Amino acid sequence: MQSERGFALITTLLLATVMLMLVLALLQSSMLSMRIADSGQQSLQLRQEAWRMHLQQPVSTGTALSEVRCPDQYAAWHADSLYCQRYLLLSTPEQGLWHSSQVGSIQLQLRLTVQDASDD
Amino acid sequence: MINLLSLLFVLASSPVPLSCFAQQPELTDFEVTGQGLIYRNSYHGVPLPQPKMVADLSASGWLFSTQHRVVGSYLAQTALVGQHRFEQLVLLAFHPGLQSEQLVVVRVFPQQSESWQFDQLLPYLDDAVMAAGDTVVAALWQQQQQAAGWWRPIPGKATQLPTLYAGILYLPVAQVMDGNCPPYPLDLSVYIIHMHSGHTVSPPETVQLSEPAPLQWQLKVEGDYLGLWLQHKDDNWLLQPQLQQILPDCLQCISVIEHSNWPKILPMAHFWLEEGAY
Repeated sequence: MQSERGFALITTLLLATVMLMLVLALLQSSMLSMRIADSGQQSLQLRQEAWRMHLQQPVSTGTALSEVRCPDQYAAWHADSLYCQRYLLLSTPEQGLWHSSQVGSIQLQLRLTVQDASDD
Repeated sequence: MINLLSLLFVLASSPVPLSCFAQQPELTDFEVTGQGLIYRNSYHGVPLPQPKMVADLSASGWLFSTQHRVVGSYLAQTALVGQHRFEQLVLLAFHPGLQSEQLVVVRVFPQQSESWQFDQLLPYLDDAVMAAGDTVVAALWQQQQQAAGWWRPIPGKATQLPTLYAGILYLPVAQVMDGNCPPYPLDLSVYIIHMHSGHTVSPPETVQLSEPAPLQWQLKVEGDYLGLWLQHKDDNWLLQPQLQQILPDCLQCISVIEHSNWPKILPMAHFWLEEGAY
């Protein structure tokens, strides 16, 4: 009678432990799947942030490439008064998740030949 | 007889309408003959296998200057050839019958298959037209944008090809009494003309030149704005204290250029540099 009682208790405890482990594993995997679902959104946000930082960089910090023909404009300028130069801009690599990635852009600077009034 | 003599004089001297005032020729992709045949020799500096005729203005009977200026630009709405971007040739011509000079602007499209004839050019929108109602002006504006270019008589002798700033042509014109070259001191009116329609943007400014010397144009910072200066030997004139630009929204739309908006930055390409990522 005594041993039968002990067997039932141990079986119940074992069953409870198995159930607990199953529930814990389920909870863990659902957390993981949520994280995986969020990761796409997060990488987009990180890319956006990287672009934002990159576009705040002044063009003058870039490497000056060759002078090019200016793009056509509605209010066109005479060729002698407008100069166009290309710049290659590279952002400094950020530490962290996007450590291996670097943002770059080619930008065109339109410049007028203007004299300061103080030159006189 | 006098007309014939002056015509002969004009014919003998080259370039034709600029005979009184020397100017340095500019090297462009185009070649203009005295009769008004316009050929494209090269495309952005790359020579074409054979010259391509883009316009034949000989029907006008005018004598054209071989010197010209090329401006790359676009119109806001152009049904013509389905191309928005084109090059504009700014030319001067001489009308032997009226004994007067003409300012001619011809549009050349990159994919243009036929050559323009003179009747595809329209006369400029004069002050009387501009004073008409807005709907009339808008309709004429549309028509002007479809045309192959425009022409405008000049009241006098142009001393040089017009200088272009922000879509506005600045054309110095000397007053002439007879067909001869005007004497110094010379009264010079600078006409201020819209590039796409030829109408007067603001009334002409007048300066007086003491002796023959080349004119020089300069942009200077005047406070928040840009000032357009005309320099001649030791004389300086402030033509425009606030330099303006034309706007694509409407024909009369003009805005003042603020110096703080320059230099302008146009993004051309963005890219990711991936290193060590597989």
